[in-house]
Amino acid sequence: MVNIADILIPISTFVTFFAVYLLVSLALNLQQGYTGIPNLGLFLSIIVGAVVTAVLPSRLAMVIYSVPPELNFIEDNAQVVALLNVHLASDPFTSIGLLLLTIVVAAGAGMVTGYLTSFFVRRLDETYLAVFLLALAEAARTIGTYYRPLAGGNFGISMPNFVGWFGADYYYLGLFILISSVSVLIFFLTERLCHSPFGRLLRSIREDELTAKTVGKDTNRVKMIVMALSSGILAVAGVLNTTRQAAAVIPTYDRIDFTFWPWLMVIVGGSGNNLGTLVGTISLISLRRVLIYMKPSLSFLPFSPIWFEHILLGIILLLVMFRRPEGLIPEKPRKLQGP
Amino acid sequence: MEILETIDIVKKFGEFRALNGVTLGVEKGKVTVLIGPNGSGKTTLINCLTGVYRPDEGTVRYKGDDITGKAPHKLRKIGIARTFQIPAPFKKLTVFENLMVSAGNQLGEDILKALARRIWLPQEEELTEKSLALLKSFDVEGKRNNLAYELSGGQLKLLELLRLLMEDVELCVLDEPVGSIHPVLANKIFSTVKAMSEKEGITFLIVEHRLDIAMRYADNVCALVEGKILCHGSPKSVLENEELQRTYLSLKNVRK
Ligand SMILES: Nc1ncnc2c1ncn2[C@@H]1O[C@H](COP(=O)(O)OP(=O)(O)O)[C@@H](O)[C@H]1O
Ligand SMILES: [Mg+2]
Repeated sequence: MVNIADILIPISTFVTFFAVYLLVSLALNLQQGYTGIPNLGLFLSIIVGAVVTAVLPSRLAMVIYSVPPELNFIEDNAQVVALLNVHLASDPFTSIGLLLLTIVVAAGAGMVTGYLTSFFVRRLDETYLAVFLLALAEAARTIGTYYRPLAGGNFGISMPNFVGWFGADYYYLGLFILISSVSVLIFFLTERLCHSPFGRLLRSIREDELTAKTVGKDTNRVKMIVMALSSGILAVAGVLNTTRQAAAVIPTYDRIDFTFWPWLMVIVGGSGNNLGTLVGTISLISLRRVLIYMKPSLSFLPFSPIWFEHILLGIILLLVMFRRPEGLIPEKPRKLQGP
Repeated sequence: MEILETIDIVKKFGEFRALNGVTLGVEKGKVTVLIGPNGSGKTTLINCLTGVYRPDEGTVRYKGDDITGKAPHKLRKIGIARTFQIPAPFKKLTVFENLMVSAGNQLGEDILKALARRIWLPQEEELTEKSLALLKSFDVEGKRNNLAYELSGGQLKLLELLRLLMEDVELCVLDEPVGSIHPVLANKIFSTVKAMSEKEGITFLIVEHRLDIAMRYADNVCALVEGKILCHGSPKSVLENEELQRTYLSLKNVRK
């Protein structure tokens, strides 16, 4: 008989990976695609989300289940996680509660991060801003990598299992349901927002900020809202990614995986519309998956297949820029019917 | 009564004084036309009045309040609107969207209300009517679904003007509104302006080089030369000013 997990694992792995990336590219699309804020440091707020997940729910669970105080979550990681997993597996309410709390707190922390960075968004011109945000994110990654108390430093830490109560066979189903529903919910809310006068306001700021000001728009305030909102989404992506991996490893949140690829997804799909972002995200994620499966047969390459992925990133970018700069699904302005 | 006053405005670019002590009053409910040679500082003055630049010295007063250096969006909220000499539309928005986004106090621009369609839909429909009516009155409703960057230079100039009519306005500052617009439309624009000032008491400050058209509609004329007001008064008196004749008008060949 086929084991249910054998079917669930690949599907869940793919879908949850996609769901996390969808949030990242949605956030980028809000910033760059709609409002024209070039952010090369998306992974700053993702790291904030991952760190909140590393710090908050396990510490709370240790208190709730009275784990002996001499055990330290970072230093005795394996032991603590094993202890907590036993409790959490039979306590769905606490598990869900902790997870929801983590999402809310992380979203809040992400929004504060976005709010703080928005002060630079007002003051710096495009190129400086992009590089400055990249530098900020790199700083956060460096701290996360070398300061162990946060999230275990370079090697990261294992996380207790908050969907363990689904049972061993259905664990991946639990991840699938949890992560994709958060992602779908955020997608539809963003879509709704972008198809309102608020979305139109964002696009006007992208097109000409001075004109937007002279027709009475407080563009600084709007940019602040966009930074806070999208950084909140990015932090949620950090929570979900940590949850799906059952580990928080800060050094993996780097600029290539968590900024350059999302940029490519938005550009390929077509920026300034969320459907394009979705299409761009799913096509590039599928491509990367295919590459992973093809790796053994790529051994004829004169270099490691790992680098092939990075080269591909550049090639796709060039192709899109030259052949279809507006992306697979170009932005569609709202047409008015009638005579 | 003067709705807008500037007192000794100085604006420097490096060492160069683009405005060198401009003192000017704009009469409420009238059409004031600002003339002057290229590079005399007209656009710079407008930028200082509408919050785009902060003057290095001097004061701007609007209805008696000091508004020097206030941000453009705040000035728009208290009734000061402007157009740009070089049209600055929202290029990748349609003409219709360009107008819609220019309306003030939109419920749907609040991030929370934006999520609830029923809150903002009635207002959106009202504004749709309003913008279509505006487009119709200038015979350009056929362009409503065009992206702004597809428009011609003259159409863009018109869009600049229509954009500021989407919200209540008390003082309109127009920077060369009819440059590159054909005479029929140019006259129509100026007669609209005149009607608005006469019927609704809206004040206009208009920079314009096409004196043949502008002078017909002007109540007051003001000449700016090398960053200073040379003369100010009725169209007739300004056009008769000898120094202005020499520096500017002789080149324009204007009949009074
Ligand atoms: N941003 C700027 N930087 C430097 N010089 C400027 C700037 N804007 C205008 N100037 C200079 O100030 C003078 C007045 O310009 P402007 O106000 O555009 O004139 P006008 O609108 O009357 O033709 C010109 O000599 C112009 O070169
Ligand atoms: Mg000018």
